[in-house]
Formats: sequence, C-alpha cells, structure tokens
Amino acid sequence: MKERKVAVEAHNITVAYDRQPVLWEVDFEMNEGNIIGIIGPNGSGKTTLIKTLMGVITPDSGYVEVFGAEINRVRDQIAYVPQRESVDWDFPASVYDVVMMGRFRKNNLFHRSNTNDRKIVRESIEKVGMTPYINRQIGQLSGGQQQRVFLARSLAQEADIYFMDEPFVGVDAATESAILELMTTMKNLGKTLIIVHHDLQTVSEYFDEVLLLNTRVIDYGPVNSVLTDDNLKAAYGGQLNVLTKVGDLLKKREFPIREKEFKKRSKS
Amino acid sequence: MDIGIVFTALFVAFNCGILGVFLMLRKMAMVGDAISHSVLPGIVIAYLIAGTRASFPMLIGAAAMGLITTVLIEFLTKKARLQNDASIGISFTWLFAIGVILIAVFTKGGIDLDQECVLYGDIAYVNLDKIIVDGNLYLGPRAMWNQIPVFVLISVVILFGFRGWQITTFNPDYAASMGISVSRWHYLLMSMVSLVTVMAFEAVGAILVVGFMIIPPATAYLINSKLKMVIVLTLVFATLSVLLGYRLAIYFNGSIAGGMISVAGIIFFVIWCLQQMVKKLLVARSDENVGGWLVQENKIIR
Ligand SMILES: Nc1ncnc2c1ncn2[C@@H]1O[C@H](COP(=O)(O)OP(=O)(O)O)[C@@H](O)[C@H]1O
Ligand SMILES: [Mg+2]
Repeated sequence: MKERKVAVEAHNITVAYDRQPVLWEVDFEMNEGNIIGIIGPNGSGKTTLIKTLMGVITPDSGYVEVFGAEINRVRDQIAYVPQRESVDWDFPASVYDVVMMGRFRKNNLFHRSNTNDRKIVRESIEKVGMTPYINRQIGQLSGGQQQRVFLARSLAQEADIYFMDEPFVGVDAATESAILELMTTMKNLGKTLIIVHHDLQTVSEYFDEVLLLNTRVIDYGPVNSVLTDDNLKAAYGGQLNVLTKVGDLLKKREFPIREKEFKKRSKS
Repeated sequence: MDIGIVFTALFVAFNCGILGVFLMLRKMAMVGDAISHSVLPGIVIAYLIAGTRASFPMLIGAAAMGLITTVLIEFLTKKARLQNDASIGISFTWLFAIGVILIAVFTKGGIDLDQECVLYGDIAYVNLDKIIVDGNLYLGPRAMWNQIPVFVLISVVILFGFRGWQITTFNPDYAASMGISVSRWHYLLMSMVSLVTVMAFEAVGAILVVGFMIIPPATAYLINSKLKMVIVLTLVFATLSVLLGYRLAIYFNGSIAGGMISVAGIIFFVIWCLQQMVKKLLVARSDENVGGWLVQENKIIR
C-alpha cells in the first residue's frame, strides 16, 4: 500500500462561546483517502469543529493545518456541505444557481462563469440525479432533493477534502443511497470525506474511522475500536435511552440494522 | 406632470429598492428605518463642528453614524447574543434619544436645528432647491442630482459584485469556507444603505424611503423566481408606484409621497391575490391527478 499523507490535522484546539468551552484541547491527525465520521450527541461541538477545520471559525487557541499548510493557502482543495437547516430555502435561486456557487472563488467573484464552469455545474447536477429539476426554485424541492443540491454544489468545487454536516438528516431512502454511492465513488478517487453524523445505528456501515466527540475528543480510530461501551458512556453520559439502544447495537454489530427496522422489530 | 418630482422619486425608489432586496433577504428589512433615526446625533455633531446647516458636513456626520449603527447592531447580536430585531430596536432608539438630548442641550443658545427640519423632507418641495446654470438653464431639483450618482454607484457595485452578494446573502458560512470576507461585504452594503437613507431622507422624507426599501422588493419576492428577476421586478414595481402614485396624488390633490406608497401597497395585494388564485388552480389540478403537484402553504412539494 502506498504511503498516506495527513489530510487534516488539529493541534490543541479550544473554542469557546462566552467563555463556555465548546471544544477543549482537540488534537488529531486525519489521513487522506478515508471516510471519517464525527460522532457525538447534540451540542457536542461537531459543527463548531468542522467550521474550525475549514477556517470559518478562528479557534481561541491551537491551530489547524490542511495538507500540511495553513488553511488560506489550500482553500481550493476543500469543499463544504453545510447543515441543510442553516440556510433559507425560500431564497430566490434555482438549483443551477446554487450549484454554480460551487465554482465561486475568492478571486473570481467579479468575473462571470466560463464554459468550463457551466459544464462542471451541469455534470455535478447530473451526478446527484437532479437534472430534471435544474431550473426549479430551491424552495420547491423536498428535503432530500435540497440535500442533493448541496452535494452537487460541493462536487462542483472539485476539491480533495469534503466536509459534510449531517447530510443524512431528513432525507428519503433514495437520497440516502445516492449519498452513500457518491461517498464510495469519491473514496475510490482518493478523496477524503469528513462527515458529521449523529445516528449511531448506521456508523459502522458508513465510515472507515470515527472521531467520538463531546467537547473533548473521547476517542479516534477505526470504528470497532472506538465504539466501545466505555467510550459511548463517556460521550453520551447518562442518556439512558441512547445507551440501551447502543447496548443492543453492540450485540448486533455484525448485522447492522436501520433505525426503522429496529423500531418495527422492537414493537413486535 | 412635474418632471422634477417624478424623476427624483424614481431614483430614490430605484436606490432604495435595489438595496431593499438584499436587506429583505438578509432579514434586515427594518434597518433602513433604524438608520434613518439613529443618524440624528451625527447630524447634530456635524452641525456643532461645522457651524452651518449646509448639507455636506451633515451628510458626512449622518453617514458615519449610519455605519456606527450597523456596528452596534452587529455587536449586540454577536456579542450580547440578542435577537437581531431587538438589537436593531435598541440601537436606533438609543442613538435617536442621544440626538434629542444633544439638540435640547445645544439649542438653549438659540441654535436653529430640530429633528423635523433635518430628518423629514417632503418630496413636494424638492423644486425649492433647483440647479440652474447660467441663470436660466434649469437642470432639475438638486435632490435628483444627488440621487443619480448614488444610483450609478449602487448599480455598478451590485452588478460587478453580483456573485459576492448572492453567496454572502444565501449562505455566509459557505462563503467564509472559501475565504470570502463576509463582514466586508456586509459593511459595504450597510454603507450604501446609510448613504441612500440619509440623502433621500433629507430630500423626500421618511415614508418614501422606508416604503420603497420594503414594499417593491417584497412584491417582487412574492413572484420569487431568480435573484436577478427579483431586482428587475423591484425596479418595475417601483416605477409603477411612482407614476401611478403621482397621478393619484394629483387627482385627489393629496400627498405625493402618500400616493406613491399607497399604490405600492395596492400592487403588493393585487400580486398576492393573483398568486393565491394560481395556487388554488394548482391544488384543484393535483386533486384530479393523484401523484401530481401538491401545494402546501407557500411551497410546492413533490
Ligand atoms: N454562534 C454561537 N454562539 C454561541 N453559542 C453557540 C454558537 N454556535 C453554537 N453554539 C453552542 O455551542 C455548542 C456546540 O454547538 P454545535 O457545534 O452546533 O454542536 P453540534 O453540531 O454537535 O450539535 C452548543 O451548546 C451551542 O449552543
Ligand atoms: Mg451541528
């Protein structure tokens, strides 16, 4: 196997809002070519962490490097899929308009799109199966379709590292499998995917490695070594409901099941 | 028809409308109203320093205060973690109060300055201040010639920076992830809003400025197609409001500003009703063929 480079490294990162730390001495190195999950309960700092990795938030202490360089020198190599609820979908823009934003760069804002941009935008829309909706206003799409638009926009960025914030939340089954398929394709192209996720049921299906987060890094590594009883207790604390589910999950780890089937089964 | 009044109103409407589109999309529609009040202390201080009621120093003072208002709103929202509308409310009432106190303190010596005269112009009187060259060549009211360069400035900034406005308005975090300075774009927009508000307020009064900043953009947004179309439609509705509003005012011998904003409001409701009817039709059709389009509230969901 060829030697792998470090894609993203964080050293001693602390971020606080109103003196209340949201991230505390977060320190890790992530290798390129992996699909990495960032897992943790609500409010554990997952969104804050990836925003800090992308230089959207400046940490109070510590530093981030991407491909061994300061983030501002490698902006073109990162792509971002924000949480779907973070924008106003009634904004007057079509699918095409939003995906075109993936071609914007800090220093081309005053130019117009060129033929290459338009070609890449159309291809990206095609890859997520949204071509029939290309001219539709984004507010008139379902949740899953909106998520695909965000995915297409990140594809149009033609980056090497993709940061995705909860891409599976509120999407239909078709979109879920479309996202999974894309993830595999991108991994095969050697891309690095860093994905915020909070559904424990599906973790072992989706990711090569996970980073378990609750303000501090609880553990980071291959899925099976991280998702231990002790680690999950440390991350989720006294959330009994979650813990029982997790207990069941651990027993059945070799046969991962979806949440819906899980509910169905537990009812009968 | 008084060409001077109509053209002054048109340019005020264009300037306010274009900026209003972005204020509305950023959920800051009332910022124009706020700035128009909070500039008062700036005007008073400029008057005290310059010692005249000439409009240029006052304009500078007012525009500076407009920016300070923006900074204050940002500060209260980000650092004090107040709701955006609460931050706007606090900022402008507080600054306006300071202005009132300043006037009370310094007009004891008989200085001729009150908020009515600096803040609330009336478009009916724009012709009192005309630009006349060579003693007889009449070029139109000064207020119109003040608005035209601002219109050119806004058009150029919006047109050339269109992608920047689009991305920093729709998804600021995403723009920041590309290294785009979101706050720089924000302050550029707010500077233009301050400039337009202050200049237009002095000349044509409050109702026109705040009305044109909100109603034509809101009407265009109802039709809700693409950002460029929203801006174009805003200009169309602004023009209609000015022309029809002027006719209405002359016909009833009423207030010109009142006529224009009334028409703007009527256009809004007409468009809204038309839109509701179209939706009803769509629902009726989707009842006929199951699996077709389903219309819910404002959105059409597949
Ligand atoms: N802009 C902000 N200002 C203040 N507190 C914030 C802000 N953004 C997030 N927080 C707080 O930081 C904590 C972590 O938030 P976040 O990173 O969004 O968590 P997660 O994505 O894991 O749910 C939460 O308690 C949240 O309330
Ligand atoms: Mg989050």
